[in-house]
Amino acid sequence: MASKLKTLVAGLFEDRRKWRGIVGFSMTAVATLISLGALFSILGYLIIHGIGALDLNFFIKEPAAVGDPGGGIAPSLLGTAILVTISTIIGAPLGVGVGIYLSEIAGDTLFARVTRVAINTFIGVPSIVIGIFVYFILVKPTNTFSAVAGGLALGIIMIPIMARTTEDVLRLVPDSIREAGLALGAPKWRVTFDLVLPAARAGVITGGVLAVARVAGETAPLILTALGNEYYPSSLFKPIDEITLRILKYARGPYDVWHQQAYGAALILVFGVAIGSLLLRLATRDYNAPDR
Amino acid sequence: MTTAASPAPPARTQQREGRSGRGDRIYHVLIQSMVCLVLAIFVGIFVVVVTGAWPAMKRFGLGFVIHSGWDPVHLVFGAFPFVVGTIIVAFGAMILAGGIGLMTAVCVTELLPHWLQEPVTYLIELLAFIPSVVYGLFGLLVLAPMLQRTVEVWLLTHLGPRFAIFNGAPYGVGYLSAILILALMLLPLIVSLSREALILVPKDIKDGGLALGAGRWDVVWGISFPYARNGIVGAFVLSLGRALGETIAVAMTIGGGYRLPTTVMDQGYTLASVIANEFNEVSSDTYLSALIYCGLILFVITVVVNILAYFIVRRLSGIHGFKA
Amino acid sequence: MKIRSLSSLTVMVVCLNIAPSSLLAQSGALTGAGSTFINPLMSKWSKEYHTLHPNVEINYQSIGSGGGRQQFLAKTVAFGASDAPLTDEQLAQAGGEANVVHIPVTQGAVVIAYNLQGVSKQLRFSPESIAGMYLGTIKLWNDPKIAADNPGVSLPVKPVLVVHRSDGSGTTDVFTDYLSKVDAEWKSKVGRGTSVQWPVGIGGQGNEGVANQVRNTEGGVGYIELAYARQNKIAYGSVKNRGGNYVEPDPKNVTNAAASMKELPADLRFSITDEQGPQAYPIAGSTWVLLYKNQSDVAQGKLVTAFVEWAITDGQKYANELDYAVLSKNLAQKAQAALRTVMCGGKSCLSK
Repeated sequence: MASKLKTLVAGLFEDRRKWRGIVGFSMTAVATLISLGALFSILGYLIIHGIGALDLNFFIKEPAAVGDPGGGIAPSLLGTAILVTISTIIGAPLGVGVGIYLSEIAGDTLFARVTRVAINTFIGVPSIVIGIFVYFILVKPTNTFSAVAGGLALGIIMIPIMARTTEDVLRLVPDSIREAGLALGAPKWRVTFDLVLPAARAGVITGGVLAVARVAGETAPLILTALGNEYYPSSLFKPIDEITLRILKYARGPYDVWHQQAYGAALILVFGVAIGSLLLRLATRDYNAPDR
Repeated sequence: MTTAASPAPPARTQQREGRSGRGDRIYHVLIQSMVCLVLAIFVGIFVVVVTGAWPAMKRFGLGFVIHSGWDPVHLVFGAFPFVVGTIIVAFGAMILAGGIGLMTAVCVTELLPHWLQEPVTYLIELLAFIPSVVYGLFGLLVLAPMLQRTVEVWLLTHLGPRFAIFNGAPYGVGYLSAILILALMLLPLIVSLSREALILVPKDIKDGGLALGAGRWDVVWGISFPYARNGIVGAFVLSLGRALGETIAVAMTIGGGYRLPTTVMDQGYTLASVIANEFNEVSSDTYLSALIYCGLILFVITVVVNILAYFIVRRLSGIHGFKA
Repeated sequence: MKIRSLSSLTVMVVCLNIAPSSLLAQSGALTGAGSTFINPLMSKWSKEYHTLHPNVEINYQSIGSGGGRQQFLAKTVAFGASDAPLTDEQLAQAGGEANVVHIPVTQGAVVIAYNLQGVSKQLRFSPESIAGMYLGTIKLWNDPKIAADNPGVSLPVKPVLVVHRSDGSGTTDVFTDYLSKVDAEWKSKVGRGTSVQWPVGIGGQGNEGVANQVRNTEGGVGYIELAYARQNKIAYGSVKNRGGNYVEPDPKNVTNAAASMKELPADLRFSITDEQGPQAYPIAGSTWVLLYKNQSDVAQGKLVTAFVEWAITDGQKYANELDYAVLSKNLAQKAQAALRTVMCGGKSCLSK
């Protein structure tokens, strides 16, 4: 009798563990299906609703009058390229410079600690706050929304991101490389630029590309700085259009034509960034540290 | 640059400094002035925000943070609903994304065969490359109308009569949409960071657990999770930080409400989205200043969360001796 | 202007900013911002004007009348467009009445648009129904007040989902002006303004956002300009006016409302809501272009005044097909006279 009870209890215990496993792991499977499902439904909607918008007009024409067909989003494509270029010119050197400072030059001084805290703080500052800043120092004084203002806002956003990735990547470069350079009599600046940076090149570029991808998707600061334009950009000191601004405008409107073009623009944006990141992964694979 | 080997380090250092000290000095000056410029920008941002918020701060004081009411006509502004909204949306999304993301990471590391793990992770990480405005597009044109016609109507008719929290008008846009969309945005972050943390759990510890008779699920729950706790908590905290600053996707899906939420279907605003939606069209200087005050509060919340996060992660590392 | 390559873009960018723009007769790019009410028409105007004068680009961004006035006051745009004239405080901020002109350029109807799938007959709304819905006292579509307006129509038992504007809006100003005139409770509780404290409902961004929201929401009701309702096939109702008639929001009934206006104030800041005429549509509004009397940028001033003059003369032919009302002769004359008072370097901008 007692032994039967024991086997019963033992059996129950073992079953409980099995059931825990079944329940637990099926939950994880469901979660994975949800995650993948979300991705595929978003991409699916973009493709189904957006592919119809991708004709030649879409890529080379300016927007038509409200509600009229036949227009395109060409100004926003060009505008995005211009804004990203300006922001990279502003943000990349400064970001990499600060990264070099934090990794190669900074000692345990107050200045170094303040810099590190500042970077860590501003990496999380909402981009809209940066938009407010640029509105007051550039848009209001010059009496115009402009590409320069938009690029500046995006560039400022890039700085802490690039500083952090650059610092992380430079720290990974083994000290032996630095010591070898110093042992050969090279000055510190040579060691940094000719030995350490090239060794970390892939990481720095990756960091740069990630920062650019992040910044290409930023909309909020542009509302307050670039404003938007229905025409091809003719000046850096006038309002300029950008892909995400156009998507925002068209998604919020009631026109079916607008909705379709918003989906189409979103499609271009997502696949552009995805393909770019895939190429980046493939290109930098050889330089990575040993795979886990 | 000299290539001759030299015996005494101090002498060689002098020799090196003497010959190329100028290069190094230029290098130091260049880099340090870049850092100064960047710090100046950050200080500038803080100054501009505080200056802009000052009139509202003087007029409404700290009460601004705990009072409700947003009346541009009578110039009465209180940001409490936005603060509450920011917290509800950010935490709600973090918890939802955290739960689903963590479970997904477990599935990927424990259940999936090796050849499937990398592609599936890559696919989920693709979600990270979708810009905020595209999530907003999806939320506004697809998710919100769907919620409106199905979930919200069901909640209202079946649970509404008995529970006040479900007794709201089904608009589609609102807290529900915003939290769901934001959770989607946080998902890739949680999945990839949790996965990295879980992968680091040494196989022998897990095997030890199995050898002692634990089931595979018990190993996950009782061994992997505690070991990977730092990484997982770090993932959650990082996603919370991201959620707090998210502007556009929330602005497009949260509906725009100025009152404290009473039902699940209510609309609201977060600090970031109210600024994005209203900045360009304020009707008075007080209004503008009130919005910038919101920006300052958001700034402060972000900084506080970052500091707390730093201490939490450090404390966790300290207690268990594990590295994050 | 087509961009052929990055290098030519760079050259153009550099040159366009150092070459004085007055060298070319009618050439340049201007930015205007504001009213979403007028956006369909303004966008058409800017395209047609661009066809007539290929070197002129009028970049109009519809951010809402509130935004238009704000950016006008901040001097970040060449002109603002607003369906609500500047308030006295804003006029003071701009330097006083002597510094600013309001040029009315078009008029249109604010319609009550709704989304009720099962109801095919056009609904009629009395002021009490509209005020009730927006005050939150009318919660369901089959409310007795709405039923009284629509005898014989079977109204669904669905919640009324109110949509209003979340941004600073001239359309809101017109709508709340109307409600304040016809409903005492509204007047005391909420009042008139470009941004008010709405008792109920959700906010959409711009006329576009409200129209989109109504389209996506079963049981939704919103106030939008006629063009948005017609272009997107959103149902809208007729509204009972002061004379007791349920009037269609047609451009000609807007013209009727404008014609009923007793006198035209000299600064052209007027309201045409709740007018007397038997066929006057009660929720009618106008859009003004805001300009500084003294244009500091002479070239820009000439461009902007030439464009606005075209809009109030030749441009009026596009109004009707887009469901806006043509300006009456009297109003157009007064508008042109006001436009002539805008100065470019001592002379009127419009003088040759």
